[in-house]
Amino acid sequence: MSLMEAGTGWSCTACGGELEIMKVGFTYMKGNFEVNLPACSNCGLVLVSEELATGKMAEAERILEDK
Amino acid sequence: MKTSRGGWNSPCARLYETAALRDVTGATMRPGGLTLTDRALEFCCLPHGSRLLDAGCGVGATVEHLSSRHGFTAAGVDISPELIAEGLLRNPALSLAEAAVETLPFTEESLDGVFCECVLSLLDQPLDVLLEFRRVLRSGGYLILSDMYSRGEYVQADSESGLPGLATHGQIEALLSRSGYMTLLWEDHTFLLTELAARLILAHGSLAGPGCGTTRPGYYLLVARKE
Amino acid sequence: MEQDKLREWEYKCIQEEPPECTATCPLHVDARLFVKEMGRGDREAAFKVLAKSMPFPGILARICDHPCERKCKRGEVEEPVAIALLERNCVEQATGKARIQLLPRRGQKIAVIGSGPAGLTAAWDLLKKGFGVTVFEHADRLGGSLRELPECILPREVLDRELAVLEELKADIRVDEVIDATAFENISREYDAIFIDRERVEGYELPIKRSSGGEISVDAATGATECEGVFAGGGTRRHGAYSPVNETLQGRKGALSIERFIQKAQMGAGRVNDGPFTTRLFTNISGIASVPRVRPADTAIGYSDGEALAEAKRCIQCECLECVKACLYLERYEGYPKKYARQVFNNERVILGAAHTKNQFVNSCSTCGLCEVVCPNNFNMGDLCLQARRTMNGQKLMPLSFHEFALKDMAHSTGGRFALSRHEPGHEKSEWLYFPSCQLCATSPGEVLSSYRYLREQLTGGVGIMLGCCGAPAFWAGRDDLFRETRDALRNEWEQLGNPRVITACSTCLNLFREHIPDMAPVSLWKILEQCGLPLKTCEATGKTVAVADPCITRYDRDTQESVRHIVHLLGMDSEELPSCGEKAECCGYGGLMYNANPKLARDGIARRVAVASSTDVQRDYLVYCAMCRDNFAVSGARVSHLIELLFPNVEGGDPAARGWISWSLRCSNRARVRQGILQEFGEKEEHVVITYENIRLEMTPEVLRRTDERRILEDDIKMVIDHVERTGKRIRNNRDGRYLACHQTHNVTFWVEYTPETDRFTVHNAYCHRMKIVGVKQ
Repeated sequence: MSLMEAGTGWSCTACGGELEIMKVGFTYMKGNFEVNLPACSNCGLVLVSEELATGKMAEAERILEDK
Repeated sequence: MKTSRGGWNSPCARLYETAALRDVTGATMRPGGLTLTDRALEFCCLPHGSRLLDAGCGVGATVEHLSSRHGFTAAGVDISPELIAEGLLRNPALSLAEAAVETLPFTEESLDGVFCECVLSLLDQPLDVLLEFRRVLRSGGYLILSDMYSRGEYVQADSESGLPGLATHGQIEALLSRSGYMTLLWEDHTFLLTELAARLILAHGSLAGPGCGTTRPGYYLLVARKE
Repeated sequence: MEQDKLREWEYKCIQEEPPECTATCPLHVDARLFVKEMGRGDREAAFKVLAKSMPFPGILARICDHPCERKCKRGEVEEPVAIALLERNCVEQATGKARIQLLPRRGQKIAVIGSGPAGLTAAWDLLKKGFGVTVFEHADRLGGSLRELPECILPREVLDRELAVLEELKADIRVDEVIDATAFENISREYDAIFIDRERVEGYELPIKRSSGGEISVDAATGATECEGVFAGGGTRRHGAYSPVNETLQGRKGALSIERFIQKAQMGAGRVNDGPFTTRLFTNISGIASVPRVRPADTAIGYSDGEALAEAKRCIQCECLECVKACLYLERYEGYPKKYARQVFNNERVILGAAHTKNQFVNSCSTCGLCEVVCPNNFNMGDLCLQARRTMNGQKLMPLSFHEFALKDMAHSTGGRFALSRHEPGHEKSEWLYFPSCQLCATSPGEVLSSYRYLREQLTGGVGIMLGCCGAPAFWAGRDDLFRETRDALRNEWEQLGNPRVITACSTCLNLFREHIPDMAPVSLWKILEQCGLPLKTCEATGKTVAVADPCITRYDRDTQESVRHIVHLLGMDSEELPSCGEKAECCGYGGLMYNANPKLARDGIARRVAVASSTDVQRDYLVYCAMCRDNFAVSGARVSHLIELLFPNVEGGDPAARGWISWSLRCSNRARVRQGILQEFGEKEEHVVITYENIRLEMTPEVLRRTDERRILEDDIKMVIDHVERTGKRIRNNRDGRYLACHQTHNVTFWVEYTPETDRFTVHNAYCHRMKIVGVKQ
């Protein structure tokens, strides 16, 4: 699932708009984070890919848990 | 923070290359950004117009913050001409100069406060530098340090990865008292470092593998006064 | 953990104790490291090891009488390592010179009278300690008795070269000095302390008390004479007990005493390990193959390089590590209990900035207790970790992720969809109470129902039923609050049923009840079956041999282990004993919630056991009597069946060992099946509360099912996401394949599901989750 092709390749079913790369905020164990992700500028829906969730995000979670 | 350093279990200096770090921390290039700078200012209660120096200022984010946000007379020096040039491009009004922290272009007792943020741990002769800060500080002037430290035993320098040694809380305080300062405040802010590590991972991928032997470095804020 | 508690833990682990050779050596030369370096072919490094503890290594290594060899553990296998020959080979060929580290100069001056091994050692040590040293020798050069040794043992040229070091260290050397009473008096006045090498002073008229044999009397521990500031040692040769290394030790003791005398420090304190001592190190030599000692081809020359290398490799490199050899968890963190105890201690200190980097370590232990069995001092890592977990919970520093899933699974077992307690229909009292256990109901619902029916037939006085969880997950998670709450609720229910005797089919429940609710007088299902006989229709397994894998929790429960073996034989099968049976039982990865905190370690652990077994000639089916053992063996691909599946076969003629793994979702619905089954048999009807997402039908390929299960995502979680987003429309669509992707954020976890809606169901292509909370799009 390559997200960086022309456009994001994803659309929002709530408003029909295309997802575009936006800055998305996350929080975990008192830490605050920002990641550029495909998101719907109208509805605020975001896309966290499997690769991100099970890769970088999982590792960042571990670092914060074993602080 | 001027140069790379790692210390999470095994060499991961690569991840602290300036570009990656800048991406995540913005212009301050250190854990917590300006939060510890503000915390120190709140603690010191310096009067308006105080003369402050940021030693190892990088592109001058702290200097800008001190002068335009807080109304101090702030200057910055850094050993890197590139960073100084970049800082002046960003804001030509800043008082930034290329200089080594070991030989500051200031006269004796001319400053009310010296900031040294995430720099001291990278230097070979921290004692000399602390004495140089002492030279330019007026009596009763503040020294504000924020930096990494070892939460366990002293961490030896690693010649292979180029990582400098990491002093313990006790060693840092001893160094300050030897160079004629009285410590007024010590706060642990390791979480800022952990958060930065997590941010780096999110932005750039894996740090080193999960080791078990070493202890991760801590991060502190210290305020001392010249005696 | 308090500091003194840490010391207790640390003392139990003997891995850092010195090996026999070092403990026996009067100078505590690290012979193990020396031989290791020789075995690596690094003679210079080996030389450094000698030089670290030996004065004049070039001399001593050649003449030492090597008491170390007499205690060498290799000697218990066949012959000790030839440390003497190796040392000779090393000092003869090493080019490196001992780098002598000097302490800062001190003002005091010490006189050493006589220059045999003891006097020379005292001079060497005192110079190193920074004292000014003058050596008085009545002969025309230094060396004393060393000059009488044959040239082939100690060449004169070597002796002179080694002794030249004293001059380099700026010792004042006075040869041809006759020390009479007047001279001694002068020395006493001029110097701050004196060491006398007794081998050269027989003839001297010194004003010091002597024994009837003419020997200067000294305190054995310190070398102190009657005379203040005068110490003596050496000179044992005349009595036929000459040992160069003991002569050296006496010089060393004297130097240390002089240092203390000068510093006015306690003379006798902390000197128990001066000289040889008994080490506590345990080294297991069973299984070490016999390798004959290498004899030098030319005894006059000693070892050739090749011979030295071969001999050095005979060294066992004594160490304990009994627990690390037995436990993958202890091995994986690259330490041993003493180190781990320190790490755990540091981890839980609540001082500012304490490094909580051992959180996963503390939570990865299965607490199975195997380490305690194999440890010569009964170190139990599980106790240490459980205690640390309780502290972490108390400090609110326990990350949720380590136990959340396991506690959620436990909540299911104590919740309304499973928990139940009833008298047997038609009885107002229960003599017995069957507590089959939550996990056995999850793996073998049909068998549990059959076994309950059988118990009702066989036992009189009423056999009640209780479905629930014994609280083990909370106990393992260090959640004392939750554990107590669960235990008290169980005890309460049990008392309401009139304190019946508890029968359980799970060894963990049995163990926990025995420890925490002993009034239940719990007994295992196997014991009951052993007593009242097996059911008529059991699995067709006569003539088969099974490998019985005891669950770790039965480690000290020989009774249950024997009941199981007895039943296996009653079933007409033979049982084969695995290396990890009985007291040495290993954990399947469920214990201590390892599977939750460190799933990879749990998987690797069981995989290693299965791999060892499958490397043998005959592969047996495993026979287990712990539901989690059954599942974990099955997940790793082994053929395994639970004893209850053989006793109460659900499918006639079926092969229980072919059932394979069971998903966590199925486990939940199996539990519900047991509850519903019992209510049905009891003729009870229950109002079924339908949860909104319950009627959603999912379609998943086996791969997707396995992947999501490994991620601990339940089908209910997936249904909840789909239900939520189908109602709100808040999902995104992949423009290429039209699949939907949607997430739902629960309290701690965000679940993502990739799916396609069909007419009557949803095809799930993927599901994953993360714990980071989405705050939202930043403008």
